[in-house]
Amino acid sequence: MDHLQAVNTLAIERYLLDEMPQEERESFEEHYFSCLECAEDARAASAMRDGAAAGLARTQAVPAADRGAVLPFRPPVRSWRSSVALPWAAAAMLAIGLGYQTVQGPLLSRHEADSVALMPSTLRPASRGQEAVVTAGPNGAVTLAVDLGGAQFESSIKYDFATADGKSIASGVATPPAAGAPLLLMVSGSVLKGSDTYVLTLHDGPGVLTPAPYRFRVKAP
Amino acid sequence: MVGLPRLPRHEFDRAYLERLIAGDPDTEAHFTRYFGDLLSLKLRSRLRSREQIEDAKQETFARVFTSLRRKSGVKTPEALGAFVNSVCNNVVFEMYRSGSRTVALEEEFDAADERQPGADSAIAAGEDRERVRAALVALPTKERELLTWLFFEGRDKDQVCRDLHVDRDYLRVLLHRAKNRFRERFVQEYTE
Repeated sequence: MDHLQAVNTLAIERYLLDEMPQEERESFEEHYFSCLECAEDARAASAMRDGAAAGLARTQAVPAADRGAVLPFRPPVRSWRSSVALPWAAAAMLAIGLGYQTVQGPLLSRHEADSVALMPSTLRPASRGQEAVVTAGPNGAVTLAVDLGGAQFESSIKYDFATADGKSIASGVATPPAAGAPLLLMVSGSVLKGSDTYVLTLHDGPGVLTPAPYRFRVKAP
Repeated sequence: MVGLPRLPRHEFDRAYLERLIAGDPDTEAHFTRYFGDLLSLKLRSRLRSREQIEDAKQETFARVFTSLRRKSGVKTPEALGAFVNSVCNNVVFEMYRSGSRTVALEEEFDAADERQPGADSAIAAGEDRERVRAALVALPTKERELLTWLFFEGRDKDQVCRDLHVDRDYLRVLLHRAKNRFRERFVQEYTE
């Protein structure tokens, strides 16, 4: 790849968007390591992406995708190492605390929000490929404790909720919980409409994290 | 790329190479910073963890410095970048061969809410972080949202296109504009 090709094909943009086949990627890398103009552009692009990835471009404190739709919770790391019971109790407390902070707008009216108890429904590994039944909470919201089977993941987890016919209804990114801890997700009742059965898929890196998606049906309280 | 303002830089000429071989601290600092940024960009798609990226960078720099001081590897100053890239390729290949995990790193590998720029990041230093933040904050809201969707939230790009009613070609154009605007502002932050 030469400089003109790099400019004319928006190479750095395609590189950032991971749209280049391997051969072209390597060719572009050879180029930008040697071309001062493209190297400067690549360094600026890298700073921009890293800054955005660190959340520095956010226009609001809470990512738009998470507002009123799906709220990932990450329990504190140290709490999960000594016992099985403690992590779940801590996770429930965290869910309650965060739920109180976050659900007032989309999930609860203000005068209902003095306290709220959330009861996570567990999606266990055994339920993969089957259909779990979860009970809706206030205003139809569902809190899920997704059992990751004890595996520990280094990168972030992308989650995607879809209807049974594959239509995506909510998605986002969560920090992986500590080993043995569940991934806690709260789904607003407003997005759980129009279908009886929903499918949760977790991705880690380029592949699907779990052998099969988690399927669940929402039951009214 | 053409016509955009330039970040502060040195010319890679014979004098630069000689200062590097002689161990001049300022030149070494520039070299590791400049190529560190490029290596980070390259390695993010090849290695899984920040630690692996940092290991690969350090190993690349160590081999390059060793080769330079043995007067081998780089015949002309203009070939310095290609040499660094080539050494990095060898390092990554050896990491692959030694059984390191080599799953591509997610774009948003920084942890949500507890996010810290990685050691590999060009924005690791506090001063640079503030420059990056200032340049990002100066972008129009729509461009900040686009960058957040793509790189912070990791939204599916096809879904982003559907939400914005654009195709993938135009998504690149939007990213191109955001990058140019960011770069202009980023350079201003350096010069102000």
